[in-house]
Amino acid sequence: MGEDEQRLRQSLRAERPAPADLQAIDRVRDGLTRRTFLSGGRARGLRMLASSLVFAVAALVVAGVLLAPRLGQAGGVGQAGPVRQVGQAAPSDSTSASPPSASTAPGTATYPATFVAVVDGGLELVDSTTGAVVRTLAAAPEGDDAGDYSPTLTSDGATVFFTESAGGSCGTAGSSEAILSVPTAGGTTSVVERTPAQAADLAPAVSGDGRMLAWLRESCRKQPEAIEVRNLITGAQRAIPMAADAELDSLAWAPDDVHLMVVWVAGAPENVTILDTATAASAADGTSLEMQLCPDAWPRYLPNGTVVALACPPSASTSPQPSLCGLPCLTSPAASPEVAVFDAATGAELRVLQTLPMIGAQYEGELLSSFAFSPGGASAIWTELTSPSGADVWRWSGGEVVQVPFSAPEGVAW
Amino acid sequence: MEGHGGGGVEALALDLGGAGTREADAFGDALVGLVPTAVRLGRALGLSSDEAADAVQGAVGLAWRPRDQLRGAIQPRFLAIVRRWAGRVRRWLTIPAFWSSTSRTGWPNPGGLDPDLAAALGGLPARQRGALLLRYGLDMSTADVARVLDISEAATKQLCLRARVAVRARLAVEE
Repeated sequence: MGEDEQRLRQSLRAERPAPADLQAIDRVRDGLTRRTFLSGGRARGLRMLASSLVFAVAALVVAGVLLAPRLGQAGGVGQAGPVRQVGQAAPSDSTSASPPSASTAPGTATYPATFVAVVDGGLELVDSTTGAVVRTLAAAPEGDDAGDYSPTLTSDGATVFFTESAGGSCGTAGSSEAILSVPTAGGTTSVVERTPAQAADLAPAVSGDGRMLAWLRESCRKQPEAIEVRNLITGAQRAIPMAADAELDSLAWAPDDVHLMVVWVAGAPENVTILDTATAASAADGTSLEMQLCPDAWPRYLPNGTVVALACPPSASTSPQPSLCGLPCLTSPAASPEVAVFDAATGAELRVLQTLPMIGAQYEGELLSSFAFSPGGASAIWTELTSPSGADVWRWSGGEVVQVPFSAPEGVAW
Repeated sequence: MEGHGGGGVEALALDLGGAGTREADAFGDALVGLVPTAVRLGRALGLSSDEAADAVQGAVGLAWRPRDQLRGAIQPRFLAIVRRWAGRVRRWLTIPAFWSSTSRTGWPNPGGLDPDLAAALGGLPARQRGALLLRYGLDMSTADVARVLDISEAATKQLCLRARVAVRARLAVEE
């Protein structure tokens, strides 16, 4: 165990609750012991009432905004505006380089014939229809917490890039990491980048033409994080530093293979920034997508200037429980994650392609653990955790959601 | 688990159905033991003490009815619900801060901790604080932390790594 881990463990175990925390604990324990929770007093009730009213007013305003254009279309005087249209045609994989082999079912979009799954720290190539393992691409490295992670494929599906971690804490001998690549057709593994000492490389993303690779590099000693961009043909590499408190979620190459869309979890004023990897310049103002994106669900930046992404409506990560509301519950009608298309320039949500009834559809429903779109954005594959060691694999293609008979708790990609 | 029919503050009450079967009592007892940990998680995720208590109460309500369906260890399952409910609490409390009677005090409680480390931990993003608390404060496995945070194990390892790096950097600045 690393020195910093040991220090964290000792310190956090030594933390004692503050007096206010003890009162909060007693309040909950008391309710549990009596099997009845009473409100924490009129002040809390009023706060909840006030926030409920604020929420109700906001919901009415939103409803008005959404309904106004539709009323206008129906012959009213409402001003025309963007309308959420569910079930329009999905993006087509034909707009980008097609995978060498693809599966097609009648009435559904094409989807890649195989996907890459992380299983016990190793990489497997799996048939997207049958769930059969086609071949092992990379065996798991030895050691606790060691493994191959974050696979990302070229748009032709021929090569997979991934990070290899030997475990251990950042900066120790055991933490040596590298970015590797291996042909999906089988072959030897190549080292793309050997991570320098006192650093860690994460989350590689390869451009549509397969010439550029971007990834996140974290230093053990200093902030900020940087996004490294490597030209895989010439070997030229550039580091683009990030804000000190920024927390990155995912990367997506633009169709010009020069600009890079960076999705932030925190630390950035907007949740999306477009970087020019040639000049390291970013747009003066980031873009804020209208909907919150689901974590660990990498979007695709399509050639027509739109972004297809998995959006998590606010209620998608919780289970509505009307009996707890006191006032009538105002839950979103679309509580499940949505495959949605956004305008990359404005962040406006253009249409919803599919609602995926997974998280929040039922109590403690399966949990999304990884989500990846196909290169053209017309299909997606994801995993839902069903137990600490198991995860179901699902694929979506043009309105069809099908379970793949395979378990991949550590993630999938295609 | 139906809410009381009265209006106003009483309408917020949650009736768990009273002491019933032996299984229900055992489940309730198990949750009682998890309350301090759950409140601590809520605090690490940026909630005030009252908000954390609200989140844990909400999580109890969600866990209670389908308690028979809970398989395996209760702790990660319950903490996962707390984490999700914590997000809901934050979204619901849209009133101005001055209206709230509870101040949003920092986490962790500096008592008993190295002040520099406490400051470094307190400055982390909420997700990183939660990950560190679960992994090192509660000694949970990576798989269980992943379950609580609704992310993959790989993402959990990355998150913990980032958090440790950030703590180290903040400590280096302070030194």
